[in-house]
Amino acid sequence: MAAMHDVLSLFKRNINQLFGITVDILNVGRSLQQLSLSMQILANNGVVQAAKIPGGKGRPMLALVEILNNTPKEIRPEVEALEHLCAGLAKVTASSSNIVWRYHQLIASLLSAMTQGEPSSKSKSLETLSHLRFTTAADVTQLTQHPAFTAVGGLERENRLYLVHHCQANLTELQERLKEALRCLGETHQALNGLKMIGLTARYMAFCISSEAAGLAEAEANFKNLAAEISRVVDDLDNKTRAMKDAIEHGQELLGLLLKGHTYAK
Amino acid sequence: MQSKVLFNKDDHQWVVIGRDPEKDDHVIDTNEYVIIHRGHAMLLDPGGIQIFPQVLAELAKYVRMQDIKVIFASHQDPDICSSLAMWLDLNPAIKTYCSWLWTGFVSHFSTGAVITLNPIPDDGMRIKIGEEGPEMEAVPAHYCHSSGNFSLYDPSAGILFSGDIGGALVPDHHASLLVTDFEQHIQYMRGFHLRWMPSTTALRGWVQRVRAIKPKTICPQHGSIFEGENVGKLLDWLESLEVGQWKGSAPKSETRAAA
Repeated sequence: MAAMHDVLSLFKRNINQLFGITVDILNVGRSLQQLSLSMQILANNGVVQAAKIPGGKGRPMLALVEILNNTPKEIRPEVEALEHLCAGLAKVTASSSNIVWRYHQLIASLLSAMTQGEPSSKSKSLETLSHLRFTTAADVTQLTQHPAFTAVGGLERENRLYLVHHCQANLTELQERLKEALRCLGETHQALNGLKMIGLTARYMAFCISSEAAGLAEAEANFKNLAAEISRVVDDLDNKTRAMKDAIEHGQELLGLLLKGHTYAK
Repeated sequence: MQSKVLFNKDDHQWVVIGRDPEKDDHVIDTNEYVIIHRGHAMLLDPGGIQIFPQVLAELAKYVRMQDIKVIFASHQDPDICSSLAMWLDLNPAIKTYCSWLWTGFVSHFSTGAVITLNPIPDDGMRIKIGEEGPEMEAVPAHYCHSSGNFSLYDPSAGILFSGDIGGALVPDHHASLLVTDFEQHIQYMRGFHLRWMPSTTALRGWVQRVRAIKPKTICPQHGSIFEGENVGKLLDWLESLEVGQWKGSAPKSETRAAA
């Protein structure tokens, strides 16, 4: 029965790994707020530079940097939405962790009772259960069909069936929670699209600033530098959203396996 | 895990569960007791979460899970009741009792559903097994060792569950569940009491209360059970003890210099 404990221990650890994934997503989300401040500083710098341009030639530039100035306002609600989703994911993970922990205890109790009940000459018959992982309802049902499960008095058999009923209920509840976690991750993935759009807009602004700067004589170099800085910040935004996407996809892969009763050993 | 019927008369049973050979060495050995009256059960100090599967497997031989009516926790320690959430998950209708001092603390053992405990007042109370069952008496045992601590006396069986009092760290799971040679057994109890019991006054007060009750059997949560003349020997020995005497090690010279 050591194999069962190993599988269930890994199953529990895999569920707890979702906490790590949630923290990864949340940390990246929070770093985006810092990044949006960098964007605002660049936008303010652009406003100052544009104001220095004589003869009204700086007006198009002012309009462009004004759009950039809105970036922090646009990123903040996106990050808040991410935080909300991550909090939900952490809650679901905590609940799943509790359920699987209780489930492990009950299965361990059933197997302990069956091992005790087996006369030593028949103890090998329990080895026929060694292929079971007990991470699915089907495995628990199979346990009830084993001779060692039923070959006891009425009271013990009734208690064992009572425990099996609780195990099945725990597994059903766990499945519900894992599906909820998967839904949370899906919504987090959706929220990333909003951040990507903000990045694309900022990158386009950088391109426009660079183009407008071409006709601005001595101010050209300053605006080209500004555009380059904006592109660098957007690159950073892209890297962070990519990291978040990777974390989400890892979580989705993990949950996909757990929902099938499999474990993730990497 | 072993179990043994200690008392069986008129459909009233006491069962002890303990001595688990598969228990991890770092987990202190414990005895769990169950009183079964006409099929309804009261579980005394159900034990830590580490041993829950084994205790449950053993208990399932004696009583229906749905018929566990009461859980009594002598005090708040993890080896006493950290499995509480599991029992309540199995049967939410179980009524749980512990000292009023610890109800808010023990509730932290919850793993989901809220644990609601019935508080036992300092002077003790009577606790019924189910609606129609006999009454057990919660006997004050404060500061023996916990500051909110109770023993439980079953008048119809003459058995006193003493919690940590009379407890012993017996060498292995082969040790007898019953004390057969009291003088020999003292070596396993002495250290346990000198360090874990903080108050000689409280311990002697408990001995006086128990002498008045005149139990035939004393069942501790650790170690072995006292029956017959060993009950008197245990009470005499406890009365002779000076506990809670640790005065600290002598300060090292560097410490003194620093001070």
